[in-house]
Amino acid sequence: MSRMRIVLAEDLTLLRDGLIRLFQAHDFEVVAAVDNGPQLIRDLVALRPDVAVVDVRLPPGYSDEGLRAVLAARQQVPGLPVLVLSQYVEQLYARELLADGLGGIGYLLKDRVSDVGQFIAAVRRVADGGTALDPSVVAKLLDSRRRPLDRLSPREREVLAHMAQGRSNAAIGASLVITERAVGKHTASIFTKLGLQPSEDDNRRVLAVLAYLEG
Amino acid sequence: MVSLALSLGMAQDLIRADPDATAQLLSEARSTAVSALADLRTVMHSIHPAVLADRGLAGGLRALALDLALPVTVDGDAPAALPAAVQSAAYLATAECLANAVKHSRATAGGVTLRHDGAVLRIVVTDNGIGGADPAAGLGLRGVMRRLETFDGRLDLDSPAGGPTVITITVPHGPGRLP
Repeated sequence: MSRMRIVLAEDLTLLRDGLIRLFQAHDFEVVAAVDNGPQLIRDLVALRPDVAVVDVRLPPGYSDEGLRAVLAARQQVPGLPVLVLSQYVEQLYARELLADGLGGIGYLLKDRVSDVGQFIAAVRRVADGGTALDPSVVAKLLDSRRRPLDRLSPREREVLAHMAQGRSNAAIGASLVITERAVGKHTASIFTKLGLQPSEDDNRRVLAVLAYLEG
Repeated sequence: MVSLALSLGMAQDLIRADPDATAQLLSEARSTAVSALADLRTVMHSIHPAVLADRGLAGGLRALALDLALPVTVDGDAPAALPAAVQSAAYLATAECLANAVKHSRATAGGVTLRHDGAVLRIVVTDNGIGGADPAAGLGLRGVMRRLETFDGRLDLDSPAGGPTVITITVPHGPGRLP
């Protein structure tokens, strides 16, 4: 596997250096590490990395510059894979990131970097065009006000929650301690109950679920 | 933070003598740090949500509405140059009204409308529930009223038995003051 080229945007020097070390240790090539929004847009468009890891909050305004830079860059480079990190995850931002329906989107709490294995797996999944949504966003998205979800069994709701994070059937099976085949049955049943087109593609599954939740 | 420092200190002591115990201590330290972050985040969010700074009052309320267990539409906008303290007070007041609607009103839908005229910001929070909301019954609304008074703001409640509930929050934001 060739080394993945990554652009990193984080204004806290210590965290930026830590992430650079982490990515280098996992065989990524950090092609740019920037600390502000305008520079991030320029580098994303000029360097076309395999994936970008971006802090929501960046100078000069220290508001949601990172998110805005990412959305602007994806308008110029459709589907550019981006994983956004934030101190606090907002459903609103998750929806904005996913709105173009092209996938290659991650949105995680910053704390998740402390689970190195899972974090690196999430970065790779996003680079492959998949989705990595924070469990806390997923929990909000699957909120009980969405009545049709009542038709799902508790097990199916669990499977749906994992699916919306971007997990494959094999990964869902492993964390729920059931066979991949059993997960397949649950997902088929979920798709039927929700009236969604079945799909084997992990990212399309997430987008289908989210599109359903939107509707 | 104290227990985090303690775990790290013990790990440092044990790193050569007992690698397994060190790994255990480091894993404890990590989960302590993560849960401290979660606590800090909850506190910060309850004081001044980041989305308010990012997107202003209307954007913050739209983000809040998405998280509620009640479909709530948010309409209109707030003045761009709203002082942060006023913005925060107006947000928390609206959030409290919506939380009450979710908890007590048995409503199936709610709405928030923001209007401003250069001097006064008016936020109307409605729900189609059972009405009968009483500021004397709980601390929440009274706290909100007191906080709004700090900014010469006020909260007017119209909640007849049988509903609907209409709450009007008024905050002066410009040079003008309420009559």
